[in-house]
Amino acid sequence: MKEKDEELDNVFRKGLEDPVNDAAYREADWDAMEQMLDKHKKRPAVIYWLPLIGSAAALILIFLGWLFFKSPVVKPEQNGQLVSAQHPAAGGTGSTQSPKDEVKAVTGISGGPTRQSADNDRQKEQTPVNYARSPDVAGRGRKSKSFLSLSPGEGRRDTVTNHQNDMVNKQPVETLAETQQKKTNNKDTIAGQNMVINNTLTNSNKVLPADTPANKQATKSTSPNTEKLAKIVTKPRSTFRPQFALGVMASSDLNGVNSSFQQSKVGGNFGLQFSAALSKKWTVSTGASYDIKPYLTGIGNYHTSYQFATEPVSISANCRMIEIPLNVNYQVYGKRNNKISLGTGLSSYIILREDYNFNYAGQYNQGPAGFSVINKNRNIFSILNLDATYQHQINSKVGLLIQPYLKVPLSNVGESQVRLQTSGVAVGLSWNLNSLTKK
Amino acid sequence: MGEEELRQLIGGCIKQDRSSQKMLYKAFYGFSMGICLRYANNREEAAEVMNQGFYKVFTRITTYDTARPFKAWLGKIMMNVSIDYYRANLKMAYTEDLDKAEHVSNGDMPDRKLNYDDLLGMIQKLPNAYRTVFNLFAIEGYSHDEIAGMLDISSGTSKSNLHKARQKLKQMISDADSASNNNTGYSSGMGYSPIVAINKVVDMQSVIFNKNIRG
Repeated sequence: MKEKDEELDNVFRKGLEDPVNDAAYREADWDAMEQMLDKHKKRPAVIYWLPLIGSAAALILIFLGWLFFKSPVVKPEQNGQLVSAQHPAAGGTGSTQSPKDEVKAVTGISGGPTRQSADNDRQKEQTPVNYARSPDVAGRGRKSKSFLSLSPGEGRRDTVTNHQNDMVNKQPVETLAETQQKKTNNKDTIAGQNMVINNTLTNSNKVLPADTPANKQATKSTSPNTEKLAKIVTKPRSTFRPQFALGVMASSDLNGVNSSFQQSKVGGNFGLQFSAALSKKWTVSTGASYDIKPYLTGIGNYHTSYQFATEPVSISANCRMIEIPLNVNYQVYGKRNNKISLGTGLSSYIILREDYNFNYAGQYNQGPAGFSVINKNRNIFSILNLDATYQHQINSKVGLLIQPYLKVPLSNVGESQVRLQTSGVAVGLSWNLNSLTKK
Repeated sequence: MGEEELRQLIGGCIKQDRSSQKMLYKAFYGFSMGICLRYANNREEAAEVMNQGFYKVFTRITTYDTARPFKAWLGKIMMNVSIDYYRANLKMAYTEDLDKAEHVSNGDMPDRKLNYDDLLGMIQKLPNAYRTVFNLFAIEGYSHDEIAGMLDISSGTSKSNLHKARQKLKQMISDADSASNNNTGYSSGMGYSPIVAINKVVDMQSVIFNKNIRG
């Protein structure tokens, strides 16, 4: 039987080893093959472009988001400063504080019992103007209850902006008597709340408005629920924390006209850089810097409608401007605490002042000595940035930045419409903003 | 195809040169299809599996050791993609009842010489599991232990499937003989024509090309 099986196997082995006719080649099979190759070949290209597309989209979103969130944050800071200015810091937010002190502690404005004075002076001229103007104050001031009563319910708002506005507008008009009575009766409870708040809140003003639902709630409860309080207070902690970093940069650079640094002058700038890591490799950054750009150029590069009686031989200029860059950086090296990244992007110049001095060939001036232009010219996204950044992370929060850069004009800059090119090296420090918000 | 020409084609494929890839594809089309047809149910499936094999060849051509025969490397890839392609379907066929096949006599081999198309047609009529084991054991020469490892089955299952495959093939041969005896006009391959779609009007240049490679 085994022999028969082997014979059968041999029949098939020999018969199938040598086809009479090979399967004829079909072009359709190769077409399918080619499609398969093309399909997989295109994928890397898509992958290559995805980060760029994503970066561009994220850049726009971050920029818009930054603009959107920036304005509401300013108001409470201003008001906070006003209150603080009226009431110098006093130490301690412990359980032995007066109720008013406790109110202050909840506001998160570090330092002292500012609310006490604020409340006492509420009906005097010292009341901030914006408080008096508030329709909420006028309509509901006396009925407002302590914002320490954090029972959820009426009018709870989720947005930071609303909370902040509520807090700022309504704090001064709380009925002090009611608040004081309640707090006197429940000093221990309130103190405990303060401890909870102080333990759970960061110093960020953005977190504080979580308390503000109580402002709207006219609760007369004398024993606020501590658990609810903690729950409400901690709610904002679950919100998204962007991975931002802030840098302080200063640089010395050379400024020349028409790609020439032969007649360049040394300028400089200093400013803030705001960056967001989109991924391990990609970072977008923006910010603002104050630039001082002196330069010297021949009359040939200078554009003006003024007809000189005697043409000056050269123009000395000194421009002071605010530069707003918008860059994308790609990390090409990153080991241990050292990173090297390449970046590009566009800058906008908001020129604050341009001083021009005309240099004549003769000893005596035959024409105007110069002129100044103040706060007139804008060059939006007209400068191409090329930079390489070396970053050495000193610790988890602070890093050292060294950034050689080149700024190439895409259009003429300033009143004189020169092609002003800048090259220099910036040095600075970066702070990991995310580490500041971590508890 | 000479060694030098093959080396040049492989060099072109390493550079992802499309014309080199196509020439290599055409040169080894018949050889590769011959392998895949044995494992496939039909020509279309075989072409699909073969293309997957060539895709591996083109994307992993840099791993090819030029000291070894290219056809052996290519054949191994084709066999592996065939096994991969049908691995998921193998278990479905294990429970097939072969009572009828058990009654086939073991004595008689075909009276006449069966040609390639006849044999391929019979192989393709086997269930996937039997066909795969029969291919690996009878034609490729692997042992049951090796097959068990390749197909992720037990050695006993491999033996069982081989036995059942043989029984089925014997039955098919017997049937073919009967049909041949009953029909004097029987032409070889009539009963078990494989779905190979051999183009009888063969492009002679292509045939010669392939033959050269095979030789």
